[in-house]
Amino acid sequence: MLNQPVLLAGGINVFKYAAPQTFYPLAGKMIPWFSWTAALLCVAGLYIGFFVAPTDHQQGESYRIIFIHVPAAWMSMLIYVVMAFWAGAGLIFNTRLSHMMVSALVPTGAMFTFVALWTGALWGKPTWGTWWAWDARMTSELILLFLYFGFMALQAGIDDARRADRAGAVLALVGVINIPIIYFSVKWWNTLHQGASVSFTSAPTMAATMFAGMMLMALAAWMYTIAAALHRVRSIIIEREQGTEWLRNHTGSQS
Amino acid sequence: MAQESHGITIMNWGSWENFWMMGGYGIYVWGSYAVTFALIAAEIMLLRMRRRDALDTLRQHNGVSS
Repeated sequence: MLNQPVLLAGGINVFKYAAPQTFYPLAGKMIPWFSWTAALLCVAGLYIGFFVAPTDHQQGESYRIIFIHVPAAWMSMLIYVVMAFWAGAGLIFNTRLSHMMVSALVPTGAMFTFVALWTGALWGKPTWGTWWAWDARMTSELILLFLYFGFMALQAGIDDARRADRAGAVLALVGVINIPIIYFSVKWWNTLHQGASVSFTSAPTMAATMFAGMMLMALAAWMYTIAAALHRVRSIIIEREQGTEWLRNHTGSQS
Repeated sequence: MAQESHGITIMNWGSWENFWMMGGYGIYVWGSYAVTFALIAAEIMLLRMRRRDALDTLRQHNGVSS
């Protein structure tokens, strides 16, 4: 038996859901929940961001870009870390679902990275007088975008799925070194980009309603990412598992 | 309902025109939001297309005419 369940202490079968045929219907059931949660959090976040949060006394209304910029920048980094985690799991345990998760996360990660850069440019122009500067924070975020594009190009260029998985996993793991560089860049170098207004170690240096709007949007981005990744991984499962017994009678009408 | 949302608008912005102006930063703020939501809409469309294509190929593979 290839998919012999692995039982750990306490009888928790952690590898049960690593089988694509088990994960596929589970993911299908979860997608609507994550999608609706994302939509509701987004509406709440936008309401607070535009109708409750006050005008910034230094930046005026331009600061309202923060409700997209910061959540997008956080997601761009978080998605890469999660990718690297699944890439490592895929290399160690040789689970094909882990590699599929990596591929499923990449386009959404690239999208949020582009959004972080785009909104950063539109915020930088009125605030610093420039769309772009080659400072450490912005340059390392641009490198992150190239890492996502590089992953997609690499996988598209290799026909054999298992080789493409391994090559992609190595790129994901090597590239993850860029994440602490992005995160700490504003501390390590004297950058044009401002330091963090929110950190794990101190209270946020912004109005409570601004902070609330930003966190709601960050949670919305998180839920959206999960829904999108689950949706994409289901397509990848169908693409790759053709010819397996469990997909013989699948038509897409059932979950 | 309309009365209520009008009240909220008055509270912060005075008028919808002021709201769209964003204190002179309208092009930057709305340029950010428009591109972001356009990209999300595009991603959702691509996700649906990819699932439809995957299922089409699967049906052909299984020998079922769709």
